[in-house]
Amino acid sequence: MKNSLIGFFIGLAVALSFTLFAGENPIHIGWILTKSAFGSPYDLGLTLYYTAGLIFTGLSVSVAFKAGLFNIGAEGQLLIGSLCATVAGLLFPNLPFPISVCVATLAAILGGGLWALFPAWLKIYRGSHEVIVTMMMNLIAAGLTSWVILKVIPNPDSQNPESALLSANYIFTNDPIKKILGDSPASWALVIALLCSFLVWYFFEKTKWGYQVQVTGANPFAADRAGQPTKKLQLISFFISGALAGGVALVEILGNSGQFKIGFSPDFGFIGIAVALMARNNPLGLVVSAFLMGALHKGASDLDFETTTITRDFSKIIQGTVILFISVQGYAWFKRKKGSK
Amino acid sequence: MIRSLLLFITILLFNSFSIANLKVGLVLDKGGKDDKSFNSAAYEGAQKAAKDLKIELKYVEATDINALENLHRQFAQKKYDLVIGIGFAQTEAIKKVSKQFPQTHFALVDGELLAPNVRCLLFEEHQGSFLVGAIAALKSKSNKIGFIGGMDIPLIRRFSMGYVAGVKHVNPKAQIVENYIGVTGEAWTNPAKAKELALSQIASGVEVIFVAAGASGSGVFDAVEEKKKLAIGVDSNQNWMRPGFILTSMLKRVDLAVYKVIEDSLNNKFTSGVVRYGLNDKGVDYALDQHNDKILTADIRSKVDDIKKKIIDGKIQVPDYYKTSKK
Amino acid sequence: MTYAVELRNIAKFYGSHAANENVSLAVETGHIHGIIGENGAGKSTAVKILFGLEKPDQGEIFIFGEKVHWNSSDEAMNKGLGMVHQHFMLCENESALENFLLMREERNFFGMIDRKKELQKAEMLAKKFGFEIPWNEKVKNLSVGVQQRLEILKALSRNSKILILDEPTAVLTPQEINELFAQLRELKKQGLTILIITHKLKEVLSLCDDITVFQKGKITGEFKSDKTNIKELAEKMVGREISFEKRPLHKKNFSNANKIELSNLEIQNQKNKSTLKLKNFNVASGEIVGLAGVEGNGQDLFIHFLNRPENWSAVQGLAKIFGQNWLEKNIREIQNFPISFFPEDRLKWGAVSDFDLTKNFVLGYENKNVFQKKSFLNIPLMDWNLVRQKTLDSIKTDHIDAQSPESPFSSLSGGNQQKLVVARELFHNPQLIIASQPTRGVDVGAIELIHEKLIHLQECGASILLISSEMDELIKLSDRIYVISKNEIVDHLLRNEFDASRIGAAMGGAR
Repeated sequence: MKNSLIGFFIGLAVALSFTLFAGENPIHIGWILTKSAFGSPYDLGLTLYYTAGLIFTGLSVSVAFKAGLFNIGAEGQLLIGSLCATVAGLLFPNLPFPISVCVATLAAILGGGLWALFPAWLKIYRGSHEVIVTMMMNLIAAGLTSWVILKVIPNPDSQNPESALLSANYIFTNDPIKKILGDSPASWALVIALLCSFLVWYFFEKTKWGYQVQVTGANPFAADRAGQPTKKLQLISFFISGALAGGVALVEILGNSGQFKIGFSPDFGFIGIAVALMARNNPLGLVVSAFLMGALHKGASDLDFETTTITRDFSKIIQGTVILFISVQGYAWFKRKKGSK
Repeated sequence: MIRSLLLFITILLFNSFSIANLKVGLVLDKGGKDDKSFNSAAYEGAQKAAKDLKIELKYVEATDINALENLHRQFAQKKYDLVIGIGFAQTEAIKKVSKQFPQTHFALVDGELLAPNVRCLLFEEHQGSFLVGAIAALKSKSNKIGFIGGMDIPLIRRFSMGYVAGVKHVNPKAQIVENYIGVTGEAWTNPAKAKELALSQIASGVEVIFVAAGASGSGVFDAVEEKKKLAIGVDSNQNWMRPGFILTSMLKRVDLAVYKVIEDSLNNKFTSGVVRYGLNDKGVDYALDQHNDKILTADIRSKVDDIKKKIIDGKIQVPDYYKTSKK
Repeated sequence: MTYAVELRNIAKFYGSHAANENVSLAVETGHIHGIIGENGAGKSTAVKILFGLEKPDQGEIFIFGEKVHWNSSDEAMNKGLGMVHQHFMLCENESALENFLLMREERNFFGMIDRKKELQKAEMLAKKFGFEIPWNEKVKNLSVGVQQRLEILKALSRNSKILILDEPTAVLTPQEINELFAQLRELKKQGLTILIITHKLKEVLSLCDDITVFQKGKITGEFKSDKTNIKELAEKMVGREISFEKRPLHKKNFSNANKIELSNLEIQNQKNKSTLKLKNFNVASGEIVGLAGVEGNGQDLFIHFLNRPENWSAVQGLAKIFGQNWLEKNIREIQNFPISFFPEDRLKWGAVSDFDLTKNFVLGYENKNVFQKKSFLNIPLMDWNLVRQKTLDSIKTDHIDAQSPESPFSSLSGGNQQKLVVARELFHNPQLIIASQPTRGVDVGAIELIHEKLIHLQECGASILLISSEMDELIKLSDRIYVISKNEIVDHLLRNEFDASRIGAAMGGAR
């Protein structure tokens, strides 16, 4: 993990030195980024909101990866998960508080999981490449959610492209995390995200099934010879992967806005790939990498605010450069793994 | 290093105190200031105000929905006098932040929200769309008229409904081909897809296309230039972008509204509440300039001006999607 | 006298590991020179340096007395060196001629190839060396022996004076080996110098004029082949004495129950429809039964059937293993039988190279209760501490050269990898062992250990099915040998009938 952060920091250093061309002092830019992440409880809260979302998608990508599959579809799975949570919430507005949240959570898990199951089935039993299929299903998910939100459950009191509001039963009113963090988008979902990364770690390190999934991912031939149900394991892993992506629903729908706003995700699903790569798929290390990427994303909009030259597009260059360096390092790691065989 | 940091902070602080003028913050939508359309119009209005009225202007572009609230709060915390949010997506953010900073004035374009320190700037897009619909029907020789929207959201439906009504008002037999570019926010910035849609509409016999799709619109302009057809621009005056191929533009004078609210703030005349801009105060209109006066013939102009008058007088009722969609 | 090839004080380091150190080697012109050594002894490295595939850290290379300095193997080829790699470099779907032209195509000045002329040239070359090659046949339709001849011709096509062969006999039947050797002697007669790398001692003795022995990156012996013997070579290779005796046959009388009893069996894979004719085949308690055959003649199918009977159905006959109808079983049930498999290719079938030794030690046995802890929700948790302890025990008892149970599997040498896999497979006291190529790519020390283990198990009454393409190994260990060819059991020999040429003929398909 320590080494794997090198890519992040080299990328950040290179990206910051780019700001010299824009006539800025890189140290100053770095300072703004830091302040943006920790400056106030609200700032930290917004960073942690992104962190929580990225933990879910990062876990999603890494669980699939451990099973030997590449889940590019976290973005679509989180949309469907969020949609299902919203629909469940609107269908049963009168459920009492903790039960209501559990039902919505279950809906999110099932939604994300089942959405992932289809490409996994195509991959395992039909041989279609999961990267292509999940990528295409991201588009279908976006279309489907937009249609349902706008045509079936739109917000009657607003012209915004968003769903109707969930009833108050679905909102954790005295959320301590929200209170500490200045009523920011961060919420109790952060705790769930941390819990999930611990559970995923526990699953892979301690349980027999976790071991089998890793064997399947690392050497499917040996797994098959060892009598492991490789197909079933891959299928279940991809379901879990999708379900974890669906966990973003807790972060956004239940923890933040109480409704589905079209376009709420700042590409959680894609940044999640970089997060997983940076953490070398280690579920605990992933918390750190998610936080770093979250802070970077949060900082991007503040750079626009604090400086005159670092516009939104420039901060995309910064983000992109960092992701590029993470990927280069991740690729080298991947090659080394392959090469040692 | 710490010393240099401190120096920076002091400079920043001095900067903010040294100018005692009105400070205006502008939060642009995802589309960004260069969409040559909606956000561009807002940006131009603010720039013009900065020049004419000697105010201090700072603009930012949002990265995603959740960043909006943060940006508004930052402006308010930095003691900006007026913060302008462009686009319906900022409603929630302004609602929350305006409550926390009752001393700060806010303006919201396209969103509706009642608060003592917020002015909402709304436009009767359906009326303007009706006019360009009528122009399209008058100009087109075929019975097929095209509409390309960005994302299928209520606002764009409002455009399309007014437009369709305008076409039918002139030519009840006309058939309208309606397409949307996408289902995600990327629909506003995807000219390639817009061009494809336009080409396929043209192939099916469409001669005039009204495009309400932010920065994607340029793709449609490319297509009509290639196939020698006509397009109608939106929000800003886009006639100059492809002279001779853009029949007119449906003006939504966000620039005027933004300029006005800045001016009012400067003169201590800021009022809260909803201000609607329609045909009567030229808040919405069709564009006429040296780039299109040859294709938009005097004959058409006089007919359209007649229709415009009837709408202002209430003799023609333009259907409003916002009212029909609410049960 | 000038040597064809001379290496002087060559050294090559990978990190701190010396792959070659102080290697000085001289090959006389017109001789066949054998280079022998265990896996990892450095013989391949030396040859790669000679052929320009690796750069030496120290030392000099001379070709026909001229000092050379390669930047690529291309330069080596231009100086008259040709090499046939262990794994053929052929395009399966192209004709023999196309493959042959690949060597020349880059050289062609005009960009066009006169196929007729080239074909003539190829035929001339083949004729010169007495090779017969069906030039228009696709490579995938050619037998392994012919493919090898094609490779040799490719290597010779640039007027090569020196031919290097890396493990040329690994894929051949005994008959094909004889043919190859005859051809190599013919090439020698025509004045070529030949370097041959192998680990088969008998072959070097019969073919080569001079022999150089490598051990641990250094040269430990240089011999004229008529002045040495197998025993001496083996000792130089391993550094100690080794037995090459046939195993004494202690035929104890166990219950005599057959662990494997196939009667008139013919089975078909339900997925790819391939069939396997096993006929009457049995393995009794306390018996090592060999299955001889050139690889890819159905051995893998047989293993698959034993491991995954649920994918097979009987066309005719009966399959009883441990007295039970095997065709009704599935993998889950099989894991409850005391049966274990040595995988033919450990890195593909038997291990996860990225994982550490501990995690490889449970592979295939993670369902066994010994390695599990029960948790409150009945979730099966792995008892990693116990597994680690057992792995450590095996590392000690079997002298596996590993730093710790946390070392990655890939960091071990082939022999140590195999020792770990064998230790894992024997940990659960199997009564039936399917040992497939148990000593492939393994050093002599590990071969000895594995053979001892198999013999010990047999003496304790276990049954062993030894699937191997090493004739020596089969003859040394087996009580009986079945021969498989083209998915069919074609011969059966008792110990007193063992005869390499009969087995070889059967492997080649002759009845």
